[in-house]
Formats: sequence, C-alpha cells, structure tokens
Amino acid sequence: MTSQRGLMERWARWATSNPGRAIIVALAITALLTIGVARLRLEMTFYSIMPDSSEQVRDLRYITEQFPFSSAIMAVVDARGYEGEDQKETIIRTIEEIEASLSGAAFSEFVDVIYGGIDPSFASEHGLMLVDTADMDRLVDLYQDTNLLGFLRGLNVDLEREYSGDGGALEDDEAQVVAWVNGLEEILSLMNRELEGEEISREEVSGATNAFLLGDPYLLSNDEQMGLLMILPTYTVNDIRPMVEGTTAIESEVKRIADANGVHAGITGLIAVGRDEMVTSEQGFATGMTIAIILIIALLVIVFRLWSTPLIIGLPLVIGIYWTAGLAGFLVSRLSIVTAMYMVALVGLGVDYAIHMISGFVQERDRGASTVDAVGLAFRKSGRGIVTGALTTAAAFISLVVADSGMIRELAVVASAGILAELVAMFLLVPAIVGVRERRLIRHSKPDPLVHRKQRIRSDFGRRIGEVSSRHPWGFIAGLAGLAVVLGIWSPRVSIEDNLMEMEAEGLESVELQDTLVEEFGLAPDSLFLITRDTEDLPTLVDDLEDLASVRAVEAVTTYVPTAADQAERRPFLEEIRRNLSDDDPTAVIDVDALLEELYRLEINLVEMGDLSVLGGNERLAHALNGATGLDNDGNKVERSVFDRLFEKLESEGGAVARLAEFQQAFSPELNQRIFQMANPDAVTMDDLPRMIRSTYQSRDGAANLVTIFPRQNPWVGSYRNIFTTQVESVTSDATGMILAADEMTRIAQVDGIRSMIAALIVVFLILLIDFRNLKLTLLSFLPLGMAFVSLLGIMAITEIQFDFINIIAIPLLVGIGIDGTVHINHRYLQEGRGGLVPTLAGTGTAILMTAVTTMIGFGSFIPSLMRALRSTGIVLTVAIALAFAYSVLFHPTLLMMVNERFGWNLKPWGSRDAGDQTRRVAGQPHKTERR
Amino acid sequence: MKKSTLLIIGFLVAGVASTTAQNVGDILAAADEAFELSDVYSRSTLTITRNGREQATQVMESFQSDAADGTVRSLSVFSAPPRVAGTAYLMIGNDLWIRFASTGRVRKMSSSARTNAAAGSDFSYADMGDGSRSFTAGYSARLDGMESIRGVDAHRIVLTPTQGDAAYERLVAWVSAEELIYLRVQYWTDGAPIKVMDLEDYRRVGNVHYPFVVRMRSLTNDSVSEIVTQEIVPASPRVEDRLFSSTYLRSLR
Repeated sequence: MTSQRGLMERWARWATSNPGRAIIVALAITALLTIGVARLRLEMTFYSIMPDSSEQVRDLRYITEQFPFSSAIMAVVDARGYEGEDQKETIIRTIEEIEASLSGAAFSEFVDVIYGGIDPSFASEHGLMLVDTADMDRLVDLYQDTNLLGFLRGLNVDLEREYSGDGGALEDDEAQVVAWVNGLEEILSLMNRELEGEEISREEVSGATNAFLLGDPYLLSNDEQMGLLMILPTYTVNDIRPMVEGTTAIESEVKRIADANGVHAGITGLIAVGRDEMVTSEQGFATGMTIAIILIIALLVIVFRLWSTPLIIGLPLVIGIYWTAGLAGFLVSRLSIVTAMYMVALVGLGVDYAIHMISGFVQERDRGASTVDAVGLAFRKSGRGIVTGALTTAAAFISLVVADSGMIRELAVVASAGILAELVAMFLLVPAIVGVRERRLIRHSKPDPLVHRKQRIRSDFGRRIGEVSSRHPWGFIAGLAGLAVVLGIWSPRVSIEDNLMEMEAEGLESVELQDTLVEEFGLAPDSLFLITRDTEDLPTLVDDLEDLASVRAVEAVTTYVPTAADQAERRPFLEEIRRNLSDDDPTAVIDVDALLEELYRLEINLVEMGDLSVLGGNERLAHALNGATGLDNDGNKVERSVFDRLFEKLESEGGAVARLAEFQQAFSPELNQRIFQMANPDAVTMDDLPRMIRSTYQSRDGAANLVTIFPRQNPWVGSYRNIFTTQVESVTSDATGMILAADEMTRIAQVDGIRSMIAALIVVFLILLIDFRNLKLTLLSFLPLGMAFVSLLGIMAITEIQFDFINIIAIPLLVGIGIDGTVHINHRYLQEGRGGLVPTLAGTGTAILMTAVTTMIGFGSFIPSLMRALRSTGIVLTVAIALAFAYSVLFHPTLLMMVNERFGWNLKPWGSRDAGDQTRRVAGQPHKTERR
Repeated sequence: MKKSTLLIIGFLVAGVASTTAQNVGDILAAADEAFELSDVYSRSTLTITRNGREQATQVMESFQSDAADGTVRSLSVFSAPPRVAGTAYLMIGNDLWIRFASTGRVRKMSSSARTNAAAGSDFSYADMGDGSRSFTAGYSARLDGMESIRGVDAHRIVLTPTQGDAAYERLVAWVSAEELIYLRVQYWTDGAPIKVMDLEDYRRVGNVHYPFVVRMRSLTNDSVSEIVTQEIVPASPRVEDRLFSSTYLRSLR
C-alpha cells in the first residue's frame, strides 16, 4: 500500500513540477480520443434504444426499412381558424402547393415522393373487383340501369336495404356513403342546371360521375376543415442526421405555404416525433450540462474561495467528459438518450475526485506546505480513497452488462469508461494546472491567497450532526428507520409509466397532432402491423381483425389485390355487370313523374340517414347529408337544397322532359362507361398497383406484405391500448408496432433494472468485502442503501412519479453512486475507533455533503428539460442521491457506533492485529489533526 | 379469551359463512328484481359525450310491458332534440322497428342490428337484455370474490354465455353485498372488456330499488352515454297493449 501511495504522491509532485509535460500527455490522449469523438453518432430517439432482443422490435425495424410508407411524415393542413367562405378550396389549394413545392428539385434530397391525394386511376380500372364478394349482388342490382330513372331507383333500393334504420352500417361504410352523397349532389346540381337551360360540359359530367364513383381524391377531415398529405422522405427514422435536417426543412416549407394561404399546418408521424425527440433531447442535455457546470463551479468557488477553481477543476472535468465521448465513440459508436444523460450526470460525478484532491491541497496549504508538497500530501492521503471509490463505481457500472437491453449495456460501458476517464483526467491535470498556477504567481510575484488567507474548509456541519446523534443515538436510529418503514409501506404502490407519449416533451406539435388525426380523420399514426409472406389466408385474417371492437379498420395488400380465389369468385359478377351495361343505351324519353317519385324517395332516404348520422355522431356523414338535404343538425330547413330546386322545376315546367333527356344523353353513357371500366374482370396483380399503395403494402424486396391494423382511439391513451393489443392478440400473436415495442421495452427495462441492481449489488458487495475484510461491516454498509431505495419508492408512490424505461436506470446507478458516502464513513470510523463518531462526521460530513450536492446538481440539471422522461429521471436520481446522503450521514454512523460500542460487534478487518489497540492507536491521529 | 370476544368472532364467522353460502343465482335474481316492474311508463334523458364533446341531450318517453307469452316489449319515443323529436323505437323480443319523425316512415331493422348502438349511444339493444328483463339472461354465473365499487362491498360475478350466439363472450357484474343491486356490469369480447355500465342513484320504485342513473362507458371509443330517469311509474295506465305494434308506430304523429 505504501508503494501505491508513493507512486501517487510521486506522480502528483512530478505533474505539479512539470505541468507542461503532463498537459502534453493529456493533449496526446485528447488527440487520440478525438478520433473516437468523430465516430460518435447522436441517436437520441426512443426508437433507437428499442431492444434488439425483442422479436417485435426486430419486426418493427424491418417494417421501417422495408415499408417506408409506414413511417411517412403526415402533414396536417388546418383551416379551422380560417374565416373566408372558401375553406375547403383553401385547404385543397394549400395541399396542391405543398405537393408542388416538395416535389421540386429543392427538396429532392429529402423527399422521395409526396401524395396530396389518392391516385384515382387504379380504382377507375379495377374498383369493383375490390368490393367484398358478399356485396357483389348489391352491385349487380345497383348498376343494372344507368338511365337516370334506373340509376336513382337502384340507388334507393340499395340505400333502403343497406342503411335505412341501421346506424351501425352507416358508420361502417361512412367514407363510401359520403362519396356517394357528395357525388350525388354534384350530379343532381348538373341536372338542375340543365333544367335551367345552362350548357353542361362533358368535363363537368365526368367530374360529377367520378365524385360519385370514386369519392374525394383529397384526404379531408370529417368536417372538411382539415386536409392531410403523406410525405415519403428519402431517409428513415434510423438516419438520424438527415432525419433532423430533412424533417425540419420539410416542416418549415409546409408551414410557410400554409401561412401564405391563411391556414395552419404541422407534421406528425414516427419520423416527425423522432425528430422532436432528438431536438428536445439535445436542447435538454445542452442546457443541463451548462447548468450543471456553472452551478458546480460556482459552488466550488464559494466553498474553496479560489477564483482559479473553474480552471483547476472545470478544465479537467470538461476534458474528462470529452474523453468519455471519445471512448464511447470507440466502444459503442453512439450516444443514446440514456448514455447522453449519463454524460451530463458525469459532471456531478467526476467533480467528486477533484473535490477530494483540492480539499486536501487547500488543507495542506493552510498548514503552510509548499504547493508541490501540498499536492503530494493531498494525493498521498486521498489518492487511494479516490482510486478505490472510482474503481468501485466503475465496477458497479460495468456489471450492468448483464442486462438484456442494448440500452443498459451501452450505459454500462459508457458509464464505467466515463468514471475512469474522469479519474485519469483529474489525476493528470489537477496537479498540472495547480503547477501552472504556482508558476504564474511566482512570475507575477504575487502571494498565494491560500497561504495569505489561511482559508479553512469548515467542518461544522458534520461535527454538529455527530454531536447530536451521539447524544440521542436511538432517536436518530428509530426516527430514520421509522421514516424508511413509513415510506416503505407506500413503496409497493409505485407504478410503471408505459405510455411513451407521456415521456415525450410537453406540448410537442407532432405528438398533439396524433390526437387530431384520431379525432378528425379517424386515423391513428401508431397502428399495429403484421408481416406476412402468404396472401391466401389474408382475407380471413383481415375479416377476423375487423370484427374486433377495438379495431377501426384493417388494410392489407388483398384490399387492393384480392386473392386469386376471391378474384375468381367476383369475376362472374363483374361480367354480369358488364353484360347489363352493354345493353343499356340511354332512353330517349323520361317518365318525369316516376323520376320525381324516385327523387322524393331519395330525399327521404337521405333525411333518414341524416337523422341516424346526427344521432350516432357521424359528423362527416351528417355534414354531407345535411348539405344535400338543406337541413341543420336540429332538422330545420336552413337552405334550399338541390332537391328543392329540382322539385320546383320538374313540377312546374313543361319543357323538363326534353332537357332531362338531353342531360341523360350526357350522363348515362358517362356513368355506363365508368362503371364498365371499373367492372374490369381481368386479374389484378401487384404490377397494377400505384406506387403509393404498393410501397405501403409490399416490402421493397417484394418478399413480404404488410397488414395495418388501425385502432379506434389514440393507442397511447389510458387502458385502451391494453384492450387493443389484447384483442389483436386473440387473433394473431405476430403483430408489432411502436406501442407493442414500447411495452416490450418497458418489460425488458423492468427486468434489466432488477437484474442490473442485483449484479451491481454483488460486485459492490465483493469489493467492499475485500476492502473492509469484515462481513458485518459490509452488510451494514448496504443498510442505508436499502433504506434509500425503499424510501425512494415510497416518495415516488406518494408524489405519483412513475418508473419508466429511462428513469429505471436510477436503480443500478443508486447502487454504484449511493454507497460512496457510507464507504468513506466506514474508513474514517475505523481510523477513529471507539468514541470517534463526532470526528468521523466532522472529517467526512462536509466532503460527503459536497459530493452529494454536486452529484445532485448533475442529475438535477435534467429537471428543467422539456422532455418528461429526462425530467422525471432528474427528479428520481436527485431524490435518490439525497436519500442516500441522508441515511449515510444521519443513520449509518450512529448505527456503527451503537453496534460497535454498545453491542460490541467486531468491525475490524479479518486478520488484523489487536483491534482495540489498533483502533485506539489510529484513532489518536485524526484527533490531533482536527485540533491542529 | 373473553366470552364477549368469542361471541363477536362467532357472529363474524356466521356472517361470512352466510354470505359465502349465498347462491349466485339468488344474488342475480335479487339484483334482477330492479327490472321486474311491469307496465312501466318512464321519462328519461340520454346524453352522449364523444371525444370530450357533449352532444345534444335526447329526451324520451318509454313504455314497457310484457306480452301474455312473456315477450318483453318496449316503445321509446323521442321528444328532443328537434332533429329526432317524434322518432320512435319499438322492440318486441328480438325484433326492432324504427319510426322516423322527419319522414314518417317505419322501418324494420335487420336482426343483426341488435348489437348496434341504440340511438347512437354506447348502449346496444343487446345491452338492454337481449329481449329479456335481465342483463344476465343466457349466461351462467359464478362468484369470483368481493370487490369495492364506489366504496360499496360487492360480489364480483363472472357470467359466461350458455349459447353460442351471445353478443358478449363474458360479462362481469358487481352486485352490492348488502342491498343486492347491480353496481356495475362489464362487457367483454375477444379477451378484453369493451364497455362498462355503472348503475347509480338507486331509489325505491314500487317494491324494488331502481337505478335512476345508468352510465355506459365505451372502452374502445372515447365515448360515454348516460341515461337519467326523470320519472318512472310502474303499473301505469298509460301503458296499453296497442302501443306495441308497428301499426301504432305508423300512426304516430
């Protein structure tokens, strides 16, 4: 041990005397580790820390890579605050401008393709082949006759059969019925204009027919006050740097165009949320590290009253963090949210070594030692403790490699490397910078203020605690044990936060827009997915999933490319539709009375459907039906509808027949031709699919298909997620998605938290056993830690702070860091011996307080972070360190005194000579030191 | 041990034994009594809150009466909001008709509609009892312990369907241990609960305790429907046989 002390002291003296050389060594290490820093990637998204050991996560990563549309950026154009009359037109204009701009060369680096609407060409060619076989009879009846009268009659029959009185069916087919109603209104408006003598163009007829058969090509919200664009970027959520730059550029352009049109816009989706996580994390860490460094340096300047503290302590501290980043670059190549968080915390941990060194140095200078002697003596006295403490903490951290998740394993490597990097940086640079300071003072012929002021580090805090606790030992023990028991009673109530969105930054637009998508568009960005190789069984699977109460819709490639069996079943119906249409020439004469009857019937059907939609809260459908019938939600007639105008014309004008026949000559062939085209019986193949649909449902390599299961609600909200995932699991166990991956991450983090804690406990136990060579003392040392842990859980339960997969790292970190104070007290008490409670606390209390405060500042610097996961981690770790400090300083020394001095427990190391003589002998020295 | 202490323990043991011995069928039968009023006229409101937005309150008059063969019959006529004032639902056993006030037409609904939402609410016709008076008809029951619901000790009773075509794969009912009234019913499909019905504000009506507030919360949609009974009159002279026919429905103005 003497040789070790000698080595440290010799090193300290050499570095103080030859600061330039020591600094050159440090610069050489810095240069080498700069290569590591250059290799380091910042990946501060939740997605990047998903555990690869989980099959669900592996599937999710496969989906992200192979089905890029699943993580497309969704741009929402919001015209709810728009005051003009042309709200819908403004939305469409904004969508078209965004589409045009992002498709241009300026965005080719970031945008692969953008869809402002649905390409109607595929549905025009194959639309009827995609209709369920069970509904084929309906189609045959509906499209038997494309003359005006036959068309309206067929439509009325279909509406009455399918929807009259059945709000559930209306809700199920809402999009289809809305398209029908809007298209029908357009067709009837054209008919009305014809009756009024206007010229109707072929394009107008074609547009109205398209609207009826294919629906609105734009993705609009239920009340048509919002629109949606899908943007497929050139990067994925794994490409961190482009994700930040590209997504920010896309967002800026989307917002610029929206602002210019007087509406609002924002983006969401996995990539947008990932970008926000990255930005808010970076901001949080940058702010946290700045706050931590400023507060800690300010604290040390105040305590040591040494203006050169920022240089003596701050510079090695920052260089140690830089080295840690370099080591991380070599060892794990990246910084995740967890390891980046640790880098900030390292500010509070690394400074502890400097505190011990500078405390010793200042004390020795107080006693009049020269600078070189003071540094040497400080290293002689505290060097071993610093190295042992650092190795203990590093060993505790490295034991975390037993974890399942890469997130914790990376933390193990970076945390232990960080401790050692800070240790080496402090050992190299603190004496060197002290040496530089000494030379500057000599060069400028200035006296050393330390010698001049005779500044002493106060020890009142520890001494007073020692005095009170030695007078009332049972009070201290009972009080603190009672506190731990009371908090422990609450501890089982601590819960786990499993909602990823509750861990994000508050007020993020990308997160809030997820609710908007659910409420206004019926879409949830975080759906569940299935990867399938075979499509034959897909229709059954899709049907089973669609039957689940928690599922809004299911989409699969077979929605667009039905199986061969389904196509074979549907083909005869389509052929029949075509046969019916081929014989269907427009009639020259129209029975106006019969037509009027069908129009009245149609109006009644639409009014009744409107009643059901208003009752059922189907806003989009109610909006369309009210528009067509001129009613408001209360059933009041608020405007003349197209029906009113038609009834007026048809009932009063004699020339209607001729004009109706003319309209029919334009409309019926168009309708006939479009339906004929849509009833194409040819086989639909993957090659027929538009790119948007193909890239949504088929993997890039063509080997797999994707099934998307849309939830009814935002799946992150409340208990709904469990219902959704449980019901899906009742059909298939192969689903994946962010919600399941996050569940898996929470599960693994819980297991890892416990496993890591056990590993850390074992390693720390062994190190302490070797250090103290006394089982009783080693076990006693764990008592404050256990009390701190139980109390932490109790406080979390009372304050309703939940564990999550980020802040759960507090458990193993607490083991590695929280035991330090106890260890220092043990060493000092063994030196002081019987009756040494007061000097033990006087000698260690202030240092333990300072190291606890600096560590708390390090962790506490996360608390102002916008990201709630970082904030809660900051709170949990700060409270944990405070508790560990409290039980170490207030409870543990008193207990040591009682068991040793009242109950006679032998705490001396195995194999040591007469303990009583030894403790008395050793005890004398510190007392002298204190008096001196 | 003191004799008095022994006596107290004896009473407690006897009480527990009496409770556990209570037959689950008896508990449900007692709870079902709340719905065994005959020839009932009632006036109630139905308020639906969807996505946090409360919709216009629906006001309805209901008439309920069993047919001679025991078939449950009910007629509900809406008087508000204006859009549906005069709209009526007629249910006879498992058959359903709707009369639209806006058009005066009467439509018979398909049998599959019994699992659909009643009047756009979170209640389905099946929740009304599948054409019977009990929530639990067609289900076999077993006691599954005790739980506290809104601070009241309640039997937790798990009900599984006895027939294959049941609307739900499982119901869980909580019946108060003391008063033997339904406090809550949970509806399950595909391994998960999808709706929860709370029955509150029990008041004495005739010989039974009747829940004046029934709230159904969908667990799959962000939606809650609350029926508040304003007035309920058993053996009401207003409930006549002629009300329960599609002919009467057509005659409504």
